[in-house]
Amino acid sequence: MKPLDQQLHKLLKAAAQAPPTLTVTKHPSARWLLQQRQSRLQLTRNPYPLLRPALAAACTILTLTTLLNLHQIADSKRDVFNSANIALSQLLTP
Amino acid sequence: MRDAHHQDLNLVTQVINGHESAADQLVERLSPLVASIVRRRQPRRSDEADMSQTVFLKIFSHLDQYRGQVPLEHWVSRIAVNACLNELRHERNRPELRHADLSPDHEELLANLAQPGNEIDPSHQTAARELIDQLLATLPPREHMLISMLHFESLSTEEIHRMTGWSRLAIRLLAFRARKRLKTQLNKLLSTRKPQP
Repeated sequence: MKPLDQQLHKLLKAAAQAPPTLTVTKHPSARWLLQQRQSRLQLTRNPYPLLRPALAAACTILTLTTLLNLHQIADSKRDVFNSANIALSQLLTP
Repeated sequence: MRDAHHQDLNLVTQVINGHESAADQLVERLSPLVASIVRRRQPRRSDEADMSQTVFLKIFSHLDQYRGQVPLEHWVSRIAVNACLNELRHERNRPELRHADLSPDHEELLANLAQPGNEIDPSHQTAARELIDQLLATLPPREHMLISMLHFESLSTEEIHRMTGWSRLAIRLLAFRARKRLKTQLNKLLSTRKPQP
């Protein structure tokens, strides 16, 4: 074995024999882990929980504004005919 | 053996169905294993408890994938090892260890190491561990982890294969490369060492 191999071997051996540092690892509670699992499952089943209500709201707003616009167009047509009628009646009256 | 796997599968099924006592039992049983894996392989910048929590979250969210074909401990080991490996990969900065970074304890250790034939003095074991940890931090994540498994946990190639899923050939190759890198680094440190009076 080469000297460098021996030195590395010695170093690794000494490091492995070093006394371990005493640490206590806290583990997460089972209840919390179950809750996390449930919320993750819900998220995979319905990845965009706000998308459906947001789409429904957008469709309702679109329908309402379309109806309002149609109503306004009908009103303005009536106005156009009215002003034409008035103009004609003024012209025709002596 | 089959019975033991069957019991594991039963326990996992109970946890999947939301039984809290089964979940308690599972956490109690796996905690020492997860702690030992995390403690030996945790990245420098992460906290042991945080890493443990990450591993347990991964275990619980992937419980549906456990089929009982391997012991539960092997399945959990792979998850824990991969989680630690991912964390190590995020630590992109792996600077080379320089002589100026060493403490007086490390200096003494290197002097002790340079003397031919001598075993390292037991009083230098902690310094040896610190120095090796610093050297390991300069290695790519898989090599770092492999050296820890081989030398600090005395795991065999077969055991590492079962824990990580790496092929036996890859393990031997990685170990060879890791030792070569460590020797290069050690050689640099020894050659730049100040001569002892």
